[in-house]
Order: sequence, then C-alpha cells, then structure tokens
Amino acid sequence: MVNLANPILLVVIPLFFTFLIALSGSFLKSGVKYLPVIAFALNIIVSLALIPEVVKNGMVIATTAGFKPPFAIDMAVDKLGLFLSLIASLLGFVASVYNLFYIDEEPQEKFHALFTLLVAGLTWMIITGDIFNLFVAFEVTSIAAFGLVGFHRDKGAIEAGFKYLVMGSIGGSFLLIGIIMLYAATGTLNIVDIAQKTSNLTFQQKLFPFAMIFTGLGIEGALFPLNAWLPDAHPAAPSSVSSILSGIMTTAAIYAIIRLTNTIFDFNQIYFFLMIFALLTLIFGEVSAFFQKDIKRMLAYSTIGQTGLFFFAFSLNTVNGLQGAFMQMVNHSLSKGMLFLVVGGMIMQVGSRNIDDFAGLGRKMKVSSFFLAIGAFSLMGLPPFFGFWSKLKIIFAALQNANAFLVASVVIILLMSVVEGAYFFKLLQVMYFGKQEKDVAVKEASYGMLFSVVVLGTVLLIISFYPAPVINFMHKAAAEIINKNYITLALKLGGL
Amino acid sequence: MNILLEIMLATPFIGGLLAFIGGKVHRWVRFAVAVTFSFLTLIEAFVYYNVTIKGVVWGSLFGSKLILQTNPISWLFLFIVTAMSFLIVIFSIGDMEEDRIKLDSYYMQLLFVEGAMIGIVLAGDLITFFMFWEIMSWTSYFLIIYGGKKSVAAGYKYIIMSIIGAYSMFIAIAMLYVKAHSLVYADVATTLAHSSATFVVWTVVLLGIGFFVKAAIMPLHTWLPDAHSEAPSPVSPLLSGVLIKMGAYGLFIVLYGFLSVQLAGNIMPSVFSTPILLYIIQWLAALSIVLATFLAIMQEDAKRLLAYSSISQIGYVVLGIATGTSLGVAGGLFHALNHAIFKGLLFLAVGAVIYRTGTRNLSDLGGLVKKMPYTFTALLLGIIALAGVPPLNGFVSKWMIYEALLQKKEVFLLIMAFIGSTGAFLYVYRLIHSIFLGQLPKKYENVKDVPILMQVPIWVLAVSTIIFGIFPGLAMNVIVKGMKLFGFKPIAYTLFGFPQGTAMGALKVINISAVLAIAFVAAWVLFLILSKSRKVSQYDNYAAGQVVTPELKYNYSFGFYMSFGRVIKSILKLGIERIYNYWVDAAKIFGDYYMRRVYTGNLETYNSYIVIVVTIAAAAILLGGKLW
Amino acid sequence: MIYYVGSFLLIALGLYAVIIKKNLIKILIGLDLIASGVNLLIISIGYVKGGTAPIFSRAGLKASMMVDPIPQALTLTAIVIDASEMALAVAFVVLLYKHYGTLDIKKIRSLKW
Repeated sequence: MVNLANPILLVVIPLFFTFLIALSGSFLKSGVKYLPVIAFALNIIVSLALIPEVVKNGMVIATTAGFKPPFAIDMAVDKLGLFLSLIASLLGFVASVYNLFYIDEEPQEKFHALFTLLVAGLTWMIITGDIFNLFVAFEVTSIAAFGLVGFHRDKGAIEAGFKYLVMGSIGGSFLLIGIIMLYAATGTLNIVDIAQKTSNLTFQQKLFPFAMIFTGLGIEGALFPLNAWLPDAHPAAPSSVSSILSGIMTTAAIYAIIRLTNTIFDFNQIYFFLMIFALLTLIFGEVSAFFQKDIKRMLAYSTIGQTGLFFFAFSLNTVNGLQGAFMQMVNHSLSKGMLFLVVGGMIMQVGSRNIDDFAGLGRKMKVSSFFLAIGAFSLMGLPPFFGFWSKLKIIFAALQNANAFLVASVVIILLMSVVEGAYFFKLLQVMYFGKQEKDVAVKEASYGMLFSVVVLGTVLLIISFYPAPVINFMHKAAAEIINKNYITLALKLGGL
Repeated sequence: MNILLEIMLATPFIGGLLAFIGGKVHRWVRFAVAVTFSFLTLIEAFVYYNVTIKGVVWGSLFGSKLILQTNPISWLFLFIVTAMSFLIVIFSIGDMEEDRIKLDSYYMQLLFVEGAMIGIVLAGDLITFFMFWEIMSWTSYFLIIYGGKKSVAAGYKYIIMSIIGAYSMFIAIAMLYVKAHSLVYADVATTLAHSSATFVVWTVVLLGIGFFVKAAIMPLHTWLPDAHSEAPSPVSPLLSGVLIKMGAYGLFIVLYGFLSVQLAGNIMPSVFSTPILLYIIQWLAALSIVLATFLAIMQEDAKRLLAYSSISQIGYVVLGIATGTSLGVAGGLFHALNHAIFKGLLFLAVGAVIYRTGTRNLSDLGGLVKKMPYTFTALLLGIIALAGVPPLNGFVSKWMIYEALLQKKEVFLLIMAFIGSTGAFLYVYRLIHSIFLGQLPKKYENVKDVPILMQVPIWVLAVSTIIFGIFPGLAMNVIVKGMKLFGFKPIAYTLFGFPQGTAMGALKVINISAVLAIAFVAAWVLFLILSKSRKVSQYDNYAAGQVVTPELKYNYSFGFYMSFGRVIKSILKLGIERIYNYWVDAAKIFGDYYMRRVYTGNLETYNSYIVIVVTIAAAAILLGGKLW
Repeated sequence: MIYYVGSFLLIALGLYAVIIKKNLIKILIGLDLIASGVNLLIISIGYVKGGTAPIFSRAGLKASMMVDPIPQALTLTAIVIDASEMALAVAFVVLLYKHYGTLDIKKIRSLKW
C-alpha cells in the first residue's frame, strides 16, 4: 500500500505524466488529452489525503534520495501550502477537462505535456522546502508557460510569448542571483536552515538577496511595473492556460514571496516599500482594465489589480492582514480561473474577444453568463460572495493600526473597487441587455466545458455561503506564518 | 418565535429561487410562487407588530456577532417593505407582459430586493446591515435595467453611485470595528459615546454619505431621476416608495440608535438647540425639497416628474428625522410611510396609464378621464395626499414636521418646506391635468381601464391614503412606541389625531375632514342651485380666433410652466450632475492618456522597468534601507 | 574578487543589450550574457583559490582546500535551463520573423495598452 499522503507525489505524478504524454503522443494520437485529467485527479486525491495529516501535525515533510535535510531536497506542506496546492490541483483538473473540448489545434501532445508541466511546476513552487528547487520550479513553470502562451502561433501569441520569455528569463536570472547570494551568506539551500542562520546577518546582507528574489518573483507575480508581459500573455494564451496563469501563477509567486519574507528575511523595514508597490499595482491594473475592449485583456488587467490587493494585505504584516490576503488569493484563484474558462467558451462561440460582440449572450448562453456574473460579483467583493468576506477582512485589517497613510490606501483600494465595479458591470450589462447587431448563431458551450465552469462555480458558491471553515483555516495559516511556526514545525518533524 | 426572524428573512430569498425554478415549468407557476411568498412574508411581518426582540444571533464573523433584531421602528419599515412588495408583485403580474420583457428572473430579483431590504431593517449589527445593503444595491440594479436600452445607462449610474456610497459606509464600519471589535448596534453606541468628537463626526458623515446616496438627498441624488423614470413601471414604486426609505432608516439608526441628541449636543456646538451636524442635514434636506420641487415642475415626463417629487418628499422625511424632537422625528417617520403609500400609488397609476397608452410623455397624453375613470380617481387621491391636503395622509405628517420646525423657531427651513409643498401643487396639477383632463388625442380613443389585477394594488393604496389620513393614530401607535425605545419623549396621540393641551396644537383630522366635507357639499349645493352654466362639447370653443378641431390642441400641454421656468432658470442651471461628469471625464482622460500608457507595447521599455526596480533596490541596499 | 566583478560586468552588459539593442538576436545574446554572468557568479562563490575536488577519501586533503561542490551542481542545472530557454527563444524569433518580416523589436509592438 502506497502512502498517498506524500507531498512528493504532488510533483512526481504530473511530471511523470508530462513525459508519458510527450512520449506516447505518437501512438496514442488524440488520446493523450485524457492523460492530464488522470494526473490531476490523482493530484486531488493526494492533496485530500494530505489534509488529515496536515491538520494533525501542522505540516508534512518529505525528503528525497535518502539523505536528511539540509542535504536532501525536501518538500514541506503546511496549511497554506496544502490549500494552495489543492486549489492548483483542482484548477488543473478542471482546466484539463476543459481542454478535452477546447483544444483542437495540433500538436496536441505538446500542448498537453506543457500544460501538465505548467501545473506540476506551480505545485512544486508552492510545496518546495528548498530555495534552489524554488528556482527550478520557477523556470519549469516559466518555460512551460512561454510555450503555452505562444501555442496558437499567430501574430499576437508569438509576440506575447516572446516578450514574456525575455522578461521571464531576466526574472529567473535575478531570482537565481538572489538565491545564490543567500547561499553565499549561509552555506545552505534549505529554507528552514537558512532561516536559522539569517539572524546573524546584517540588514544589507539580507536586503540584497531579498531585492533580487523580489524582482525575480515579482515579474511572475505581476507586480507593477514588472508585470508588463501579463496583459499581453494572458489574452494570447488559450483560455484554459490563461485560467491557470491568472488563477495560480501570480498567486504562487506571491505565495513564494510571502513564504520567503516571513521565514527567511525577518525584517520589518521593507513593508512600507512593498505596500507602495502593491498600491501602484492595484491602481495601474484596475485603471487599465477599465479602458479595455478586449475581454481577456480586461480580465488580465483585473488580475494585476487583484494581485495588488492581496499583496497590499500581505504587506500589512499582521495576522489579520495575511488572513485577508490568503482569503483574497483563494477568491481570486477560483473566480478568475472560472472567469477565464467561461470567457474561453464564449469566445469560441462568438469568434471575437471584443466586449461589444458579447452583446446579448446572457440570453443565449445562460449557464455561462450566470457563472460569469457570479465570478465577477465575487471579484468585485459584493455580498454574499466570498470576495465580500475577504474584502471586509482586508479593510478591517488595514485600519487596525491606522495611520494617515493606511487610511489613504484604504480609500485608494475602495476607489479602485469602484473602478472594478464599473468595468464588470459594464461587461454584465452588455452581456445581458446589449443588442446583438450581427446575426451569429450562438449556442451554449459544450457540456464538458460547462462541467469545468460549474465545478469551480459550485466550489466558489459553497465557500461563499459557508465561509467560516475557510476563514478559520486561513486565520490559523496566517497565524502560523506570522509566528514562524513553519520553522519550529519543520525542526520538530525533521525538516532539517 | 425568534427563529421566525430568520425564517422571515429567508422567505423572500427562497421564494425568489422557487419562482425562478417554477418559471421553467410555466409562467403561472412563477406568478403563483411569487404572490404566495410575498404574501407569506407580509403575514410573517405582522407577527412582529409592536414586538421588540433584542438580538437573535445568527452567526459570527471576525469576532463580531451577526444579529437580527426587531423593534417597532424596524417594524414600520418592515411593513412598508413587505406590503409594498406584495402589491407590486400583484401589479407586476398584470403589467409585465410575457412578450414584452423577459421575465425569467424578474420575480427572483424582485423578491431578492425585498429580502435584502428586510435584512436591512432586521439587522442588529453593522456587518449584517452592510451585507444586505450591498445585496440590495446589486439586486435592485438588475431590476432597474429591465426597462430597456435607456434604463441600462440609468442603472449603471445607479450602481456606481451606490457602490461609492456603500464604500463610504464601509470605511466608517471598518473604523468602528477596529475600535470596538464588535459591530452590534449596542456596542457601536457605547463606542461612539466614548469617542472623540472628530471620530463621531467622521463616522456619521461617512455613514451618512452612504445613506444620502440611497435616499437621494441633494447633492447625491443624480442617479434617482434617471433610474426611477427608466425602470419598469412596477419597479419604480418599489424604488421610490421603499428603497430610498432605507436611507432614511439608516439615518435614523445612526442618529438615534448610535448617537442621541444629547450626546451629539455634548460634543458639538448647537444651532437653534440642534447639534450642528443635525442642522446641516436639515439644510441639505430642505434644499432637496425646494430644488427638487422646482425641477419636478419643469419635467415633461410623467415618471421623471414623480422621480423629482420623490427627492423632494424624501427631503421631508429626512428633515423631520433630523429635527431631533419627538414631534419632528415622528413626523418624518410617518411621512416615510405616507410617502411610500402615495408615491407607490402615483407610480402605479402612471404605470397603468403607460400600460394602456405606451407613453409617459405628458404632452402626448390628455383627456383620459373618461377612458380610465378608476385610475383617474386613484391618482386624484394620490396627488391630494402628496400635496398635503387634509384629510389624506400626506397632510398629517407634513403638519407634524411644520409644527416641529415652528417649535424650534427655524423659520427659514419652515419657509422652504412650505415652498416645497406649494410647488407640489403645481406639479401634481400638471400631472393630472396633462394625463386625464383636456383633450383626448385621437389615437387613445380605444383605451380601456387597466385589468383588475392592476386595479387592486392601486386601490388598496388609494384607500390607505384615506385610512392613514383620517386615523393617523394607527401609525403613531407603532412610531411612538418605537421612539420610546430610542429615548424620545412620547407624544400624545389619539386614533384621530393629537389631543388638545400638549405642546403642539390640537389636531383631529376627522374634524377637519368633516369641515372640509361640509364646505365641499355646501359649495356643490350652491353650484347646483346657482348654476347658470350649460354643457358644451370640448370643441365648442375657440382659441386665438380659430375654431378648435380635434387635430388642434387648444390647451397647453408642452411647456406648461414655461414662464415659471424662466423665473427659476438661474437656479436650475446649477447642474450638480455636470460637476460630477466633469470629474469623471477628467479621471477618464487621466487614466486613459497617462496611466494606461505605461504599457507601451515596447519590450525595451518593459525591460527598463525591471532595471529601474533593481536600481531602486540597489540604491536601497547601498543606503542601508534608509530609502523610505 | 575579479570573478565577482567579471560576473556582474557580464550581467550588466547583458542588461544593456536587452534594453538598448533593437535586434532580436542581440537581445537573445544579452539574455545569454546575463545567464552566463549568473553562472559565473555561482561558480565563483564556491571557488577556493588553489582548491581541488572534494574527495574525502583522498589522504591529506583539508576541508579548507576543497571547492564547494554544490554551486557547481547548481550551475549545471542552471545551464540546462538556460539552454532550453534559449532554444525556445530562438524558435520564437523564427516565428516572429515569419509574421513580422523584421527582427527590429521596435516594430514588433502590436500589443499595447
């Protein structure tokens, strides 16, 4: 009997399937598209099996190659990591089901291999306990994402892919510099080990690696002004990929920043600086989104805005703030992931990404439009959806030790929420009450695609109406991070 | 019995969902479910008549309890909500034809709005309140945009302003939460009692902006004329009669539930023995009354006229509530009920006219009195009530507000309130004259009165104007009992009015009615006896030396008050909306031309952003983190 | 020390190329320069002057004379990653040239705002 509660499986399974898909593509032909579904279904099972273990011990650590940490590479799953990897597996599963009906372009086996690799890399990035592994996961994710963004191979996709590639690899280099500087300062790559040795470093010695890592991860995590690739890449990619990129990639990168900042770099001086980044990200993202005509581009800019929001909550550096940030991450992953899937189905039917062409879809694609509305409401933070609870938490947390700057940032956040409301309501009213000029035969999306949307939508609705478990879970996770339980737990469980 | 509070709150939501599902089966299932559930809610509301329940905990969030409660003041608004919703559901069945508008989710939205408003009035803490407030905003948005192309723009304006108002409230709520970690009303009151004056003022102002947007107090009213006039006919009375009252309810809770006149008087200076904050609110309300009345006079569109009239009437409600005396507050609350009744009636009656004629342009209508006599009579009662003529209900509440102002010697405000009332005569006369009197256009020769399902709600409201006019004690029973809980001195009242010997003058509506009736009968008798008139046809007439033909209009129907308009033109020019539009445009230009052009599409630029960030970081490192 | 200076010079040179150069191929060269600079940096961190391979079984070899092996392993990984990235990038350049008929990055900006 294999012990399923092993975090390594979360990475190994999809990696194995990646190569299986790539190799079997020549004789399985289009049959390969079912393999990612199996991979992520297994991943969900593993994540679920990990839940009781994590709840019992607070963390599950797995090491590789028979060595002991810090020499071995280890995977450490704590509460937050588990939750995010669960969401990653869920989104991966749902999107791969969606792909069954969505991707008909050749070469299929390459797409599915890259897709599986993308989610594998993201999960890896979330659960790794070793910073060089973080870099490898980052690069695996990036390369898969570069390929997937350019998958359509048309003018826009290639351009977006190339720009993303250049920026992404610069980011990767900076991340590597930062990691190496940490190694130079401490002589180890294990996160927990580093954390114990950083206490006797000077501020500058810590700040240099931090700045590099921040820049590197910030590019992936869509922080202004490092996010210029994002509004090009998300629309250019196939919708299922956009869903993953938007739903998990930014979240995972921000998660990595949060994790490293709170375990390794133990300083309080930088949070004000991070807050300014967060606010700029929020403002530029939401304002740009307002002016978009292309729906996927609008959603991409909205992703930037949401990232700014939860990064702001993180930069408050309080338990409540982190709790709000995590709640908003969950909300964003589920809603934005769902929105991209819905929109993908609509674009398939309408044949255009222009918002004006979506007029009247509310009548013709009822289920899709309904879930689009739910996702939009949740992102806007309207009750009774989950976004309301997270926005409530973030604002409450922001005013906790309010000074003039924090009050001003709260005002900015709420103003930007109004802007967000403005463009989402514009979209909704075009969809539901616009008149379609062109006479196009629009049908509802296929059942398989709807299945994915409905699964995500149902999860979102469930946590909207029963937010208490998620809220409490996130509170514990946030408290663990602030209290540095990661280190103590890892030491106890032999993570070092 | 307490569990019923939650059930009552859930009823309309469940009903809405069932109506939506039932609608897939057959449209009559949908109607039946909607009627049943809105009626059920009304019945459940009556269980709580004059009952006070403090705190049914239904959940907890971030360490603050979520509470439902009820008291007679809540019940007053609960009654307005449930009763009006029920009547509107009935009216909708007649009005919203299957082929005209997609009804798929109409009843769902309608019942959701009702549920959200019930949630607001039953809320016992600010999170619950705010949650349902937001739900009310977006559900009512979907109701407004049912009205077609123009209503989409109106709804957009409505939802954006609502969100802005709601977020203003949000900041205040967050401030309170941070201070006390509990948002239960009682705790909020204690917090405010121990806070500095600045904090209290900020809280009230921020909350007040939210309420004033919803209550459409000038200068935050700009959404209302568009939204109320463009919404479908059955939705307008819901908005005008009920929804904007939520702002008044919120204001009442904040001013007298959280604060009190004494407390407010202690921390801020007073004018006319009113705390300055209340005094400012009074002035805003009075300005709303006067300006909106002028604007209403100038309208050519029946529903727009009524919409402006709503701004003016809600001004009375807020003015009354902000006086801070027992009499004034009671008058304001009573006027909220009365306004719901007569404005609901007027909107429904105009809706009935639109239903038959398809237009709401006053200059296109006329002479319908013979074709739609029942609607005419109901509308006549409505405008009499609105103008504040005894014995109908508008009179009593307005009289109470005047009396309260008089007792405080606030003469300016009193004059403004009088102007509003006089102006109301002008516009309601215009309304009834242009629709029902004068010359019947040829195309409306075959117009009939509306079906019975639409008559019933209209007449229920019409009768209510008389009932509450003659028996103000019915409403005072609830209001006075409720106000006692908020620390007001109870005012003496009887079923028919107010007895002699109290601080205010005596008022017995039935006597006034009797006098009026006698006078009316006397005049009529005199008219019959002394009559030297003869009946002539409408066309047995001449205008400017020409014989009147059916093609030629012999009475003014366009630009009815044009000369009056010239007088007040300078006032109307003060377009608040233009100021808002200016700022919105400026923000748009700024966003479009400066902010979003950061994403130039040029890879080199993007790469240099990265280098800039790294340079900043390097500078920070060199300076040892002293950059900020 | 010279290694550090050299590696940072390489990185700076690469960044210069990425920002200033218009030609796609030159941008790629810039990327590769950055990557090489980083690799050099990694190696030089583990390097001990006059050190040798860390083989513990060899007699008379003190720990201070051993070169840290981990950075070398890391470099190998990083080189592999860079290589695959470059391959992908060149593929993109080929496709870009097909679509746009130019290698000038200034002209490839159909996606903006």
